[in-house]
Amino acid sequence: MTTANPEGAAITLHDLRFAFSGSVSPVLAIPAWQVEKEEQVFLQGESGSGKSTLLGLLAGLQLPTQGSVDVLGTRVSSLSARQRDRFRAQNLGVVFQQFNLIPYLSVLENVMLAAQFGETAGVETKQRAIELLSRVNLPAALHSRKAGELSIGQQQRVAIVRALINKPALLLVDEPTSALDHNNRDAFLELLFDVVADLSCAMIFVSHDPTLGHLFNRQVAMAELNQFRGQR
Amino acid sequence: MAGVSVLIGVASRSLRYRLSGVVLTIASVALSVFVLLAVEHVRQEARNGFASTVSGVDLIVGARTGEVNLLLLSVFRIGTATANVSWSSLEQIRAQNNVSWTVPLSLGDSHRSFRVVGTTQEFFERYKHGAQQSLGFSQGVRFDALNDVVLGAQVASRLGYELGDSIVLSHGMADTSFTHHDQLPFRVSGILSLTGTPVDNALFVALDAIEALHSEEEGGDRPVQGVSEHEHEENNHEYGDEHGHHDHHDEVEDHDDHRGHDDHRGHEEHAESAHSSASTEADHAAADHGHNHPPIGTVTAVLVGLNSPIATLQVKRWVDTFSDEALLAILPGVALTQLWELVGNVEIILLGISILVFLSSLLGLNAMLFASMRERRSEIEVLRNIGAPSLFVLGLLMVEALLIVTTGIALAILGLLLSIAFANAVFAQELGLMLSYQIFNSSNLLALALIYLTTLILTAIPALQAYRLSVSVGGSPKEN
Repeated sequence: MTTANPEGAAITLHDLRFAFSGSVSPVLAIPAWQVEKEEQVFLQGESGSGKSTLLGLLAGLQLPTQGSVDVLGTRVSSLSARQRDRFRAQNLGVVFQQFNLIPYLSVLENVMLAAQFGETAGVETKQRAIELLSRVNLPAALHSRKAGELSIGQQQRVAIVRALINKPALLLVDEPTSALDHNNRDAFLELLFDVVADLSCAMIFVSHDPTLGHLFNRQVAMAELNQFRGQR
Repeated sequence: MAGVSVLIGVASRSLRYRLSGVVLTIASVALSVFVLLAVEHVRQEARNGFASTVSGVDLIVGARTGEVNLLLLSVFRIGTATANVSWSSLEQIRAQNNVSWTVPLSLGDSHRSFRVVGTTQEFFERYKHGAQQSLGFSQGVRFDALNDVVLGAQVASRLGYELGDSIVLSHGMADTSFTHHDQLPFRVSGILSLTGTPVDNALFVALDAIEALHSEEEGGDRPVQGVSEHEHEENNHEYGDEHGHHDHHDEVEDHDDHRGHDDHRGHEEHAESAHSSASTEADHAAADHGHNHPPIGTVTAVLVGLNSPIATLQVKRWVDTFSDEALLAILPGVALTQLWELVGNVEIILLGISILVFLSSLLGLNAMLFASMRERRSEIEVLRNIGAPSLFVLGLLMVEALLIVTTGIALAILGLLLSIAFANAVFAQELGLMLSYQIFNSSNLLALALIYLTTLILTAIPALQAYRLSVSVGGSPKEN
């Protein structure tokens, strides 16, 4: 699935700095940070603390202004745009706050589109998608419904399945519960931990809500991690 | 990696998802492209139709006047002749080495406001229109006897004439002319097919018939008009012509004759206006009772065919410098172009409309694409986050835009072809105009190419913008 990491780390950041193009002052400065394999990290921070930028760097959607990003033993920051797309499709799963799905594709098609980009599409993967969807309490009747017709809670559960379909070694989750009410939120988190435990992948869970922190085996405050913020 | 089939599959679902918007966009593209193509087509057809009013005639010879005047008179039968071409000149032209044939035209009479053309049988095989199309007969045959008349298609249909009907020609143009040639009724021997040219609105009789009409009438049966001294002179002069077709008065001698006559009688005003006998006669004719046919022994204009088109300018020069009579030879194509430039404002207006329609369709397309790009930004984010290469995103947007534009253009072309077929079926009989199905020309194709180019650029810009945005803002567009 993934190449063995000599250091056994899921994420290694070194001397990382990021500034938006055209802007002199960086928004992110992390001298060193590491996340072990199968580690589940709760990253707490307010809006504008740079947490989404950090996720973008980890996913290879952005490139650091300075320093290096290693994910699962691959130096993402040195890959070409095409290689990063491919790496992201095959090794990472992402779940966002909302608008995770293509509204005009069916639930199953949304999941299988990710499999297409991850080059895992096939009868076997489709079977796995159906199983995973049932696992997150989405009955077969919903699988052929258009994603746009589902409730937000259902959509977020489809997003988990979509993020996990390529058996990623790292799951990036950004405020997935902020659009959900309290009951849905708890059910969602429970499901998330269940399926992640099945796959034994590493997870970075970003949220502004510190009350969720106790569910994770490691909590990090963005304010501490981002030295740029600290210097201010 | 993600194959083209995936791309097409996603694109088709995306289009179906926003079907109503897509249908509206296709309709607006189709409508504007339809108007664009239709206006351009009409513009080209109008120009071509005009330019092919007469073909197969190398030169048109008439008395010296403006080139456009001669064209208007000889082809469109608009206006009056100020002077004419004498038989002797006509014969000298015919005797020219390079001249293959000549067809004389004599104007001046009418039938219920349709012009009568006196000509020879050869007219029907020599006069061509469009792409060298000959005149055809829908019924009957050419005139043969002195009192045969061939009707243009519009004349026959408007006046409801059929073969064998008897009609009376009038002197001059006015419908209410007091002078009807009722001593010589004509019999319809043939009806021409519709051509969409001025031929449809004319009646054709033998040149001899015109001469017979006027000699008879002017010789004896003169209508009640103040018989002036001058007319006496004119009559005498015409008698002379009639009796001796081949011993024409020399032009100069004729001229002198007039002047002497007038001077003798003391008619100063005649002397003033009598610069040439022909113009004097025409002036008087018009002033007297609106008759403007050429005097007997002369014709209004001559259609000339040459053995080789190379000789055209040579013969034209010979005619232009002809010393016996002041003549002018025109190249029909050149004169038609000049005339078109004169009346071609219509074309400029149509061209202006085409350009406006084109710009508005581009703007409409532009607005539509930008609107859809905005609403699709989050969709692009999702695709990027699950690892879709930027090429896939760009391809998706391009395929959709091109499908919309292509469908719109295809519908526009189909609609235009159907409209042409409809117009030809319904209006061809009334207008005598067959629209061609050749709707593509360089300017049309350029317009379509520009539409495609604009589509590609307008799609690429927001696609790349969205791509860059997702790169710089990061995975979650919803934070902040």
